[in-house]
Amino acid sequence: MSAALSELVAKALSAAPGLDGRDAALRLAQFIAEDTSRLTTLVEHLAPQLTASAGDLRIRGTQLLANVLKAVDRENPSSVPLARVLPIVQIELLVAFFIDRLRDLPCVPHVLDALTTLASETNLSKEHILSILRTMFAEVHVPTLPFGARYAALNLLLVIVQRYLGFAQTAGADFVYGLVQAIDGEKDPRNLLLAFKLHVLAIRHFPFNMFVEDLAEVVSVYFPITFSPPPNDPYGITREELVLALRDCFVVSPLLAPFLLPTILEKLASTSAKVQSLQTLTACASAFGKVGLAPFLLEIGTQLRGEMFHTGEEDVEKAILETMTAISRVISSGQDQSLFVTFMQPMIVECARHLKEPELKLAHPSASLLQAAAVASSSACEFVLLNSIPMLSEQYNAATDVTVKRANLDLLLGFLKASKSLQVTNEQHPLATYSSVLASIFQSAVSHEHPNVRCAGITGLVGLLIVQGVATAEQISSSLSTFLRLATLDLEQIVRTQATAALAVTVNAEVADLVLTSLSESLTTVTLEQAAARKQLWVILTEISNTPPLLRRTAPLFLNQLQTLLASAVAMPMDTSTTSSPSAAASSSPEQVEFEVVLESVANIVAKGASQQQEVALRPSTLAETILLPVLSLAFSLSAEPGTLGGVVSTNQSVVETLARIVRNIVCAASVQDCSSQLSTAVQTAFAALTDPTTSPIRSVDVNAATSRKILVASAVLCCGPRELVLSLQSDFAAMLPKITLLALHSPDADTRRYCCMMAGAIINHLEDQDLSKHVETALLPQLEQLLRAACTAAPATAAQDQQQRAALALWIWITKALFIRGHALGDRMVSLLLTDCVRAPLLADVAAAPSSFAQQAAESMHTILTDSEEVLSKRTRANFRIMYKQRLFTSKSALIVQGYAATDDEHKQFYLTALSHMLQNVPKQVLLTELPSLLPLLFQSLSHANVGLRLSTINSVYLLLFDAPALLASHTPTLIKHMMALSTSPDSMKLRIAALQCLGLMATALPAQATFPSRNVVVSGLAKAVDDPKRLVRVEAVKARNEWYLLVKSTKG
Amino acid sequence: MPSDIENINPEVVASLSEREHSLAEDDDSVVDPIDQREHPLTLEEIKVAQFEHIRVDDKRNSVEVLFTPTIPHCSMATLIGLCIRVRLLRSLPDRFKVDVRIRPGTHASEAAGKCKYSWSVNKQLNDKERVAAALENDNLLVAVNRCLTPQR
Repeated sequence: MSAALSELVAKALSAAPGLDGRDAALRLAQFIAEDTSRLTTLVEHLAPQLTASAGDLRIRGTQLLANVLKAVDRENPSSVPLARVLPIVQIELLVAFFIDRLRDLPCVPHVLDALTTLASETNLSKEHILSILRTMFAEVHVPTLPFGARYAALNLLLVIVQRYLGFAQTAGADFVYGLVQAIDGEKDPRNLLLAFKLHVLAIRHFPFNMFVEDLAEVVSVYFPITFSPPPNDPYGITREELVLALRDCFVVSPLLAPFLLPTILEKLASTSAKVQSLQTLTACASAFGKVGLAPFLLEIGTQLRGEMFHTGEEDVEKAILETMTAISRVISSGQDQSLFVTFMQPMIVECARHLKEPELKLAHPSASLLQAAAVASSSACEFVLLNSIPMLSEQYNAATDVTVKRANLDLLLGFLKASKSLQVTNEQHPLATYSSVLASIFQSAVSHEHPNVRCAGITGLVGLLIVQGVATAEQISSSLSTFLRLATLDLEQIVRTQATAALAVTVNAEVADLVLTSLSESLTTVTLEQAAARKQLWVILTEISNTPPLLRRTAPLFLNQLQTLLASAVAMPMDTSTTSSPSAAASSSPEQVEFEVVLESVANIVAKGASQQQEVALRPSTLAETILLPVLSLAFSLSAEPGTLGGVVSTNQSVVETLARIVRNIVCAASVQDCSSQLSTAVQTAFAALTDPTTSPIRSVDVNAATSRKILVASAVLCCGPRELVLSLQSDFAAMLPKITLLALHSPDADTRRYCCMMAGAIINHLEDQDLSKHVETALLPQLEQLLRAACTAAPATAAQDQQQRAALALWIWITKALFIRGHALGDRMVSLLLTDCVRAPLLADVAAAPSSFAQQAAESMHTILTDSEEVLSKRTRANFRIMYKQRLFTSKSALIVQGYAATDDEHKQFYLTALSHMLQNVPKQVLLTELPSLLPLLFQSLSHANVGLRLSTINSVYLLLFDAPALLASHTPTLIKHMMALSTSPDSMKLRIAALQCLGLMATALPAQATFPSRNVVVSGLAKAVDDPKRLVRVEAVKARNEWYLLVKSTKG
Repeated sequence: MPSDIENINPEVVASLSEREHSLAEDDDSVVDPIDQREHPLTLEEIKVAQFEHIRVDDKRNSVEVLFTPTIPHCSMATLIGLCIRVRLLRSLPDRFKVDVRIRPGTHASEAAGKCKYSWSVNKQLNDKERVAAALENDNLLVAVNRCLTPQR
């Protein structure tokens, strides 16, 4: 055994330092860890080295022993601490030996290492700790040691303070003195982090009064921290870390204040580290307290003012104001306000001087400073308001010039806002004293001739109203009537909007009566012919319906009005089929206008409540409770009775879609837990509407005005509900599916066909596998595929056949989407059919007669499949889908497009390009980038294709790629420029020219200058024609693009 | 640094809003008359360039811009004028002759003799060769480009 040991020792000693040496020590350590009695043998073996007179031999011996100790601990297989492995006697011997060796300068680094290991892994006695400290402070001059040794020394001290605090404390002030000596002049950030930690611990746990000044000085020299880590820094020390560690040293004791504050103030004035200085000052303010701050308050005040008036940087300004608040909070606390008054007096005097010229530059910074002081505490706020509000009020009343008045008002608003954020618990709010003064000022402002002043007045009144306990009941009611008056009658849109917003903020359940009574009154007096005024009233009602209690009160107003309007008699327009075109809308009756406005208001309330944003108080459950069922029954019961408004709007597509949107938004957002009763009633109603034996829209393919409406609204309920709900409907869905698909294929009405396709998709998306194979895979799909195959082999002979095939294709596309997004294998096969046979379907001989062919429709399917539809099959509408289906589609099918494009004839190439273009626009860029190089040639082909729509969508794709893959496009810059320049003067469409010019403009900034600069002159002179384009909108884009290219300069970075 | 800025607090006015885009404009067959061209400069907001002082004659291919320095001794007048001129050169079709001048009576050096330079600002601005030479100067070009870089 001894032989094995001596061999290992010899190897370790002769190994070159560095990795080899560590390796050898490790092996040795493993050997010793197996049997710890071998450690004694090791020490005996090392005796010649440890006691050698030659320096390097001794160093090697000590280093080996230190490394082995460290490694034994780490390598110990049972991970038994060193303390239990080594007998106490041995530990004591080792410690005594190492303490003695602290005097041996060349060995000190390794000795410190070994002592650190022993101190952290074993339990040393008090005598040993004191002896280590004493010897170390007496014999080792840390600042002159190399980096590693300094680190070891600081680490040892930290271990001692953390593990043996009680023992170390008996060293008393000596420890503090020694520490100051040890960290003096340290420069390495790694060591500084240790030093700062030790500094804090020393002040917390040791008597340091004798050395306050030294302790302050030893850390203040590092302020402000200017360290910036080198690139690829392996240690990961950040400047922020150092700043915070140093700040901890500063705030640890108020006794340091007299020495640190002058440094901070001096650095604030003289360096560019303003934010760091200010943040440190902020932290110190609360740590040092009144006593610490007192002697420096005047100086601090002067500096803060100086910085505030001269800085132009937002973050510095923010830091100044934070400091101001922190200081104000400290010195305004408690009964004695004298310090605060001393501090604020000069501040008030100087700021008041600037506040007297409210339209000049320094007024705002002055106000901000005072406001920052005011938000700190109630007493501070009181003091600041006393010294500003009366003065500003007086100034406002005396001013005649609009600008001055407005500026004064802005300042007042600032003080109002500041005192608003003050948290007052049981006393009166300081603002209450001034509520009548301010209210009268704001009331006079709202009747000022200048709209901006009126807006500011509104803001002021709102401020008074929303601070608890400031405004009196009388002020509240007069403000609310002011808001109502302005919101309805003011001539300026901006004032009306602002007043409406004010009502939305200030109306709550307590004051709702007042406002609602007044609004209802207006609704009865304003006639339907005064459409704009009525619209504004509905807008106000919409805006204030922003909490559940209010919506419960306003919802009946909206819904009753809708019902009343439907029954009202109107003259039928001449031709009902054109109601959705603009010319018909222009001549719609006042009743219809009103109906649409009210319906849109409800839709807005629902959209807001269903968005589930934090700041919106409305919840889907309230919407379901108040709006869902009434709107649903309204939508189903719309009767096409001629002579009433119901007859007109029941076929108006935009009205029908709005109704469906309202229902869908609520159902999508509602959860079963909160709204089970409403949801189940809604589902019953929807099913009843679809399956009623006499009125069912799906009992035959005969078209009826109500058919498409009922299907759309019913699918909004049935297809978007929570998963639990949809699952419980499985059998009903399966039974309904054949009827729906029949309609999708054969209904003469295009809208009905479309809605049925979507509904079929949504149903199939949720069907269980068993039902799916029974009803879809074996029944429906073969039938559809047969129709598609027919279309793919021969061009349709008749228009009826064409329509039939198109309908089959549309249904196929929606079913494909339904299956593909849920990750069903069928979906994959169906996409392939679309991209192979369907895209290659023969065209009609007369292409001009049918601009959108079957093949085109198949190519457009990528758009339907890849974009999120509002109605069904999206995440929002709770479709059954697996994430990343877009990526899956793209990676598995883009090859089909490339192959298909190469194999097909010229006439059909465009359809592949169209499909590709839709893919590029909808697939996340991470996936695109790998496939893109093979697709780029196709993209460039599309840019010169005759089809305008294709070119347009390709330009859009390129536009998006410029953001996502600039590096790839950069290598094709000349080609791209050639195409875009040609497109920029294309006579085919101005939209093309605009898009191409926007793309060119983006290229100048998105692509690297090395790629674009060589073409600069070509583009600049080429665009000369585009800037003289006959169309204004084109010229605008041409000018933008050309100027971007002019701005290009030769890249200096090469 | 604040001390470098002349006239810190100029009077600020709202800029003219973009002309509304009418539906008829989407029709490719309608030709928009060219004198409805936009004036692209936000110098407008500080009344340096004003809509009233811009004359465009599409038939005769001429554009004349009179600008107003914010204060009579504005040292930036030449640079502003140069920027306006460069912007127009870059934005207008080549067929236009562009004249950029200081509005009479608003600047100390608008005519020769009143200032220490032998060339007045107006003459410098409208001398093609001098403008071309100025843009050869890299430092000046950088300054002009900086003025003309859109704020992003």
